Amino acid sequence: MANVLRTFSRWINTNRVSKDSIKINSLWNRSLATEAAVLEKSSNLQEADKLSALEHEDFFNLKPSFTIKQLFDARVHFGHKEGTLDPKMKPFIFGSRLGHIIFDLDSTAELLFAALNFTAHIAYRDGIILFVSQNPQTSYLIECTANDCKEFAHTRLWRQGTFTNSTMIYGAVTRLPDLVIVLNTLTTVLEQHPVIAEAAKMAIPVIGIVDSNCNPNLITYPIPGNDDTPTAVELYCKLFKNAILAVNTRWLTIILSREMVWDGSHKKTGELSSIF
Amino acid sequence: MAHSRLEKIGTIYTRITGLIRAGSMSLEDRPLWYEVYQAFPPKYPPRYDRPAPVEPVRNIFYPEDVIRAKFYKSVKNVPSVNLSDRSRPSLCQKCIELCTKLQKENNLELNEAFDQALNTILSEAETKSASKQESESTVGSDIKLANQTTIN
Repeated sequence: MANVLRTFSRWINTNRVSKDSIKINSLWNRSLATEAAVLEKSSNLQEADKLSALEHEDFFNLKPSFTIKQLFDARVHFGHKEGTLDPKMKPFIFGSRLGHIIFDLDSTAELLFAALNFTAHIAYRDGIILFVSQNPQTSYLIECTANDCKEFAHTRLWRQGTFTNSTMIYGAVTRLPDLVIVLNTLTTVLEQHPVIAEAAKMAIPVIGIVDSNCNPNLITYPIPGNDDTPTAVELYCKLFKNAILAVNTRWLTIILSREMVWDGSHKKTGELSSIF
Repeated sequence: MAHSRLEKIGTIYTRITGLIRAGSMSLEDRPLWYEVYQAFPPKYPPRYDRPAPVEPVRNIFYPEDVIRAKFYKSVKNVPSVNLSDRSRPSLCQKCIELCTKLQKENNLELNEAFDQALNTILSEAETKSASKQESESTVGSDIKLANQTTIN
């Protein structure tokens, strides 16, 4: 086991940027008991191992991570008043209850799964994920979430050009995030967060929680739902954290399942390239 | 990285694909998300000019809304409700339940069933509050007695 991890870490150090050391450390820190538990995990994961990551529709076993009842209990289905409805949100809503927009949680669940799956795949490929919001009420929670999954957060005033003019702003060539997760797509009641247009300009995919008064068009993976209630935001944060941390578990199962192959022969490069 | 910054044309995927096809971006320089997007394309392409559907927003109404409206019209002082406590039904919910039950069991008309249900529910609530007051007053007298004994 130690041998495998060492070769794995050496390989990764020569190929990837410094962020990887964190993930390797977290792999090292796992106890033997959890490793055993991971190996005995559900058959879904073992079946998934037979396919490559992108061929399997739920490679990280994220479908059971939430239920529609949970979404309902977290008050995800509540939209704003009917007068503030953005017509582009119409495909995602169930109807209007006495003037209040109610989201269709079936479509929310489908789109939320697509977004979680995409997040996990980006994390699996060692992409940088940036959580963005400008809502003071939830900014601490979002920063804590980003910290917990060793990713990044931006919850303050957005300076124009943070992505588009990053070389000048940071004084050096800067690696931009590979995925932006926006938990509140509005800065004020009427204005869209500038990160969405900037990410689209720099060809960075965006996952966004879109409430009934938001414009979902530029958002790559929109999740229709309530973006104001703390319980709802807590649920989103928890799910994204789970999705990102599920990647570590998958790494471990893959490493352990390939241990036999690696220990015997020294065809490391071939085996590794088939994983990545 | 040389690429188009016109976010209002096409999607991020079509723009990058165009660059690769035209040869201005080599396949090795493609973004990290490219294959993931290819494998799991979003249900709605993220185009800036995706048109909004014109269909009207439908209203959500339930059959029991008639009873609900009648209840709130006839009861002026509705007691406060704890919204996070789902184990105890509100006065209105009790009334709706009883009314539909009476309608089904006794084959009553809506108005009759509603009047009966409302009367029983209100009398129940009154007796409950009365018994509560009584128990409170007895507790109070006990305390008074206790105080007296300590003074004595």
